[in-house]
Amino acid sequence: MILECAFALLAPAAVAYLLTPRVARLMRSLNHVRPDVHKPGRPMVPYSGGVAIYASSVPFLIALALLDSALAVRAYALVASVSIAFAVGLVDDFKVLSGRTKTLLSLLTVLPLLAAHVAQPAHVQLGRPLVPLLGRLRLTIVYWILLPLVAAGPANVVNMLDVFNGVMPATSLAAASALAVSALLIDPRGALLLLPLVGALAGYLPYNRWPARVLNGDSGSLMVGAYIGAAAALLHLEFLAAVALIPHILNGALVITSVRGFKEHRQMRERPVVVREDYKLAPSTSPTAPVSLVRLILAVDGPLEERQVALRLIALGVFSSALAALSALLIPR
Amino acid sequence: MRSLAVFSALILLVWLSAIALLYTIDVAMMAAVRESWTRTVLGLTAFACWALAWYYALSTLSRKLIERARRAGGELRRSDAR
Repeated sequence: MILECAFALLAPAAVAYLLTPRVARLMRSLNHVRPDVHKPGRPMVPYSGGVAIYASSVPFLIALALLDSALAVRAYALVASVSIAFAVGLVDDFKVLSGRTKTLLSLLTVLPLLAAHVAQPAHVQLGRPLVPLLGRLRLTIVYWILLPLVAAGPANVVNMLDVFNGVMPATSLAAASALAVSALLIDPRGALLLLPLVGALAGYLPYNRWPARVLNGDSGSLMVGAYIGAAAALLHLEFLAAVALIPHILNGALVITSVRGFKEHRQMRERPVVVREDYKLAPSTSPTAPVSLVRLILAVDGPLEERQVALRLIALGVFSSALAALSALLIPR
Repeated sequence: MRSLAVFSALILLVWLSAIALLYTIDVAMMAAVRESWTRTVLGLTAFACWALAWYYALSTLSRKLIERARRAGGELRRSDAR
């Protein structure tokens, strides 16, 4: 088990660390670059770094499925779900989709989980999430009503908070690590499903942290969010995933309610923050600008540099992930 | 750094209230109502009330914070002009 854990964690980390600069060079050679808008001169940075995260995590999930037959069905369902989110994100990276289309397509990520549950009920049992103090919840009907959101919800909220260098991989690394530690306490073999993501994000983060040498793109953020949500559903850790992603959910709720619907950021006429001449970020003072977590952080602390805002978002992600791990300790066994 | 204290406290409250909500639903509602669509509707209503309460709390908080930032920005511009 220790050897399997080491393999599932360290091999993706090494591959991501070696692969990410090559993916960045490939994207630059394809002229697939985007301006890093919060930096002086708006430098063009390679886009779709999510390709490196996908290529360094999914092959190891397949390897785990081949090595461990008890884990195979769950691993293949996870691979299919993550691949759908990655494909939607990659299409969006190259050919911009509307916010509504992207959200609807991301709902497809639930299909592999549902198919695995129906075809292999002995290996994949959806429903009855674990919660602190109570153990397994008796959600006999409500769970199935909310099921479409199980992977699409995390995918979209992680995507919506992917706004500054390093925030997406760092907050997702914290959330995935908290879920992996929690799974080790509850279902040790199941924890193996999360380790390739933890490893891949750890290997990828040095290239996306401020100042970023590669940007994640929706291929990265949608895929990572769907991975967290789908793995949580397969391990009955839905409540814990929701706790680890509270900053993302708060941000998503604030943006969706203030712009009244799912809108792609390029479709928004106003921005929640403004970049000043000294490249510090300040909250928009327009009453019609979207409300986001970053705008509220700036409203409390005043104008900040990009790196300072990113560090605050990461600190909130680490705090909520710690609460998720604490929740796991409170689950009766 | 004040924002960290404010939003960490908010996250903590959301977490505690979510556990309290689930505990209330599981202990009170599950004991009182047997498995049926009535129980589903009651459970969803309780969850919707919780979500709505947080929505109003967040809306109020964000409105006040943005208004305060707007006033502070105006004062800063006035002091610059002097």
